[in-house]
Order: sequence, then C-alpha cells, then structure tokens
Amino acid sequence: MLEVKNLSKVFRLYTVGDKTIEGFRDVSLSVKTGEFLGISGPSGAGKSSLLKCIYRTYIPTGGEIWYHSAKGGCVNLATLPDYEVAILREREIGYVSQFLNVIPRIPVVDVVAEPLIRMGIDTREARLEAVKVLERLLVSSALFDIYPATMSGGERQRVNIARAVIGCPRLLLLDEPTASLDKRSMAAVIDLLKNIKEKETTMIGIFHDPLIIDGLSDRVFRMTD
Amino acid sequence: MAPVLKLKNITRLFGKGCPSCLESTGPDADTNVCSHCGTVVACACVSLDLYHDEILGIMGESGSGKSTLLKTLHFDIAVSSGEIYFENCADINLLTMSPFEKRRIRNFEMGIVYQNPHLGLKMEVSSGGNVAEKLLMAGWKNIDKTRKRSRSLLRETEFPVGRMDEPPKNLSGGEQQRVQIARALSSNPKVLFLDEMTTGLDLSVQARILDMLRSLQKRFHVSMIVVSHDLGVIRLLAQRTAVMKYGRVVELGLTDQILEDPRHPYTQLLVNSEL
Repeated sequence: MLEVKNLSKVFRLYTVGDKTIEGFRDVSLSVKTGEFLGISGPSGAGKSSLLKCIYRTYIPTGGEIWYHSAKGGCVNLATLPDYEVAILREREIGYVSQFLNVIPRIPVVDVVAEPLIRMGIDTREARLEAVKVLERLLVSSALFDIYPATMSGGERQRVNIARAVIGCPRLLLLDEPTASLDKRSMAAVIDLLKNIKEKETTMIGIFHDPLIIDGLSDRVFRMTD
Repeated sequence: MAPVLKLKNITRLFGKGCPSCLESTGPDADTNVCSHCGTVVACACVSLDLYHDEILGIMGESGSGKSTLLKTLHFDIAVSSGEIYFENCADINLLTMSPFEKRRIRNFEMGIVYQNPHLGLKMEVSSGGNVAEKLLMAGWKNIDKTRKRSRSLLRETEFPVGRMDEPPKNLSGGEQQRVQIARALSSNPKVLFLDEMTTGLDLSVQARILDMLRSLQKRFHVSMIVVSHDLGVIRLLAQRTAVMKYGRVVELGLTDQILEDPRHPYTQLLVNSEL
C-alpha cells in the first residue's frame, strides 16, 4: 500500500544564516494494506519528520513515497501536485498528532463530525456517529457542545483521535497522539485503533509507550540518529 | 481535474515599460521598480490554478502585488500581458473578450469583496439596494423576488436585516463587509475574490466573519481566492497558498506545508515574523 524509497529530508534555514539541518536520511520502508507499522527511535531521529513527509506537510528533499490510492492508482506523494494531495487528505489519508490543530469556535461534536460531512454524509447522521466515537473514547458528554480550546490536554487528544478515525481513512499516520493520556483512556484508544485496523485501515504510528507498540504493531521500524 | 480558473503569466506594469523591466525586478533584484525606466512591476508572470470548492490563499506584504493580481482577475484593471481561462469557456482567454462579455462573466460568475467598502458599495444607496444591484446586473428582473433574495442573503451573512434599508455609510465596518459579501454571493458566482476583507476590523468581528465565510463556502460551493497579509486568516481559510514578493509568486504549496516547511527565504522570513 505504501512504499518509501530512499527518502531524505534536509531543512535549509535562511533566516539563521543559511544553515542546513538534516531531518533524516535514506529511509526505505514498506507497509502492507491493513498492517500497523510502529516507528521507534530516540528523539531527534526524524520520526515525526518522516510522517510529515508522507502527509506532505514537509516536502522531501530526496526519494520517493509510492502510495496505492483507492482511485488514482499508484502515486508518488513526494511529487504529487498539491491539489491532488489535498483530495487524498480529504478522502484517504489521515494524520493525527499530539496537538489538536483545528479551527477554533467549533463545538467538539462538530469538530469530530466534520470529516464525515465533507464526505457527503448527512449532518445529523455524522453528529450521531461523532457522539458514538467520543463515547467510545470516554469523553464526557458534558463536553460535546463546548469548544476544544477550553478542554484539558488529554480530552483534546481524544477529540483529535476521534476526528482522525471517524471516516476510517485508508492510511492513518499517528504521531504520538496518546502522549498525555491516563491508563484508562489509553486502553480505550488502543481498543478503537484495533477496531479500525480490522476494517483495513493501514497505520503508521509513533508511540513512546511500549504498551501501545506491543499491543498494536505488526512490525516496528527503528530509526537512529 | 480541470481548474475553475486558470491564470497564465499575468503581468501588470505601471509605467511606460521597457524590455528590461522583468529581468531587472523581482525578489532576486530586491525591487519592483525597473532600474532602466522606472516602471513599477506590480505583478509578473503569475500562473495559478483555482480548483473546485477550493480556497486558495495569497499572502505577502504590502506592495507585493496581491491586490493588483486580484483586480486584474475581476477586470477592474487591465493586464499588461497574460491569459485567464474560465471553466465554462475553457478555450477562450477571457482577456481577449469584448467588454460586454467580460461584464457578463463578472456579473454572473464572479464576486469580489474589497478591503475598502467604498470600492465595493454605493455608500448612499440602501444596503438591500446594493445587493439588489448585483442581482439586476445578473439578469434578475422581478423587484419583489430581488428584494426577497437580498434579504435572505443579508440574513446569511448575519447582517441585522432590520437595517437593510439603511445606506452603508450609516453602518459599522463589519456590517459593511457583510453587505459586500452578500452582494458578491448574490448571483451564485463560481468564484469569489476576497481582498484583505477583515483587515482593520476588531478581532471578534474578524473571527465571526471568517467563520461565516467558511460555512458559506461549503453551502454555496464557491471557489475562493483570499488575499491577506495575515497568516492567521490564511491558516484558517486556505487549503493551498501562494506567497508573493515584488510581483512574483515565490512559493506555492499546501498551506500547512507553507507554514511548517517554508522553502523560499522570503517565506521563511514571513512565517518567522508571525507574532
């Protein structure tokens, strides 16, 4: 489903005297449909940068990212036109980090329902589905109508995860989305991720908690400095 | 997928122009004034595509040519050279059309919201009348229906409809922008151009207008080009963003990429300058 070939990312920073910083070098990996690939390694090894390259928040400086899309056949995400990447993000590829990056002033339930609404699902149905996912992740129903900005870190992370999984993306990229969760919510997250894995969502995830890595990953890819 | 609007090499010079204008200006030359003839190169060789249901951001500092570009697309000012293609008449460069045809396309398929409401509204005419005027230009004839449509559009833009008979000169800045947006959307256009539309409004009004625009975009399925020097506005609205400097597009990409992995030195400077 995804094949990364000799991928590299070098940042060139002009504002601090034209400095060059290496994100990661020469990474090759492949992931099969329905597989969960864990990524481990020390801080600074380039794990997040790798995920961001696959999602195209970063533009790789070398290498290829071949993705078998549902409609358009095999595409190289490293060079695919921006507009087509935007369409894949809307329909097939999800990304979730530890930071909730959503538009302010939208109630939690709508934040979570939005991906479904964009897919053309009826608003009321999408909201019902959003409530179900939020309940599974043990988010208190008292929070459904408030803005995420006013929530705690752990609650936000669960909203974030709910939003990412609700549309069952074909490929889901997870960048430590559980960093500040307690044991109980963590178990709920793992349970949910296992569930969507059965629905053939392919996942690549960075987790520091060995519990999650062991509980979810089919394989682990280790990155070094 | 074919774009709704396709710009090819849009160039606009202010001045008499000379053969060296383009090569002696731009980000590398660090000026937009031609050193040979003194001509200002407001925009040069701008090529962009706008797709369906998309909000394209254009950012850059004052004088980078963003507004000039937008005004050439709305035929407010002429281009020096370049081509514009529109999906409904894909093979014809709009700029070669007659003034009559250009007006028709502008009235039926385009809408614009200016930073300065004086450019977009008749300050002495009632607010409802300002919206109705665009409808009349787009071929609406029935006065009663026109008024109803104006009222419902003003309601959509969260304008206090009870004040629709008042002229814009009596309204606040935020309300004037709402009238402009209602007017711009009235003919159900395919594309909407927004030029620094919330600049100068206070923060809470700005936020409400931006939220309203996002939901209108989804309901009307209109493609938008949003010009702003405000990174927050761009981040909130645009899926893709072009960065302009001295009349050139120096970087074009997905908005999160532009903000998190800017590659052009100028984009890096701009992103690092955010407060």
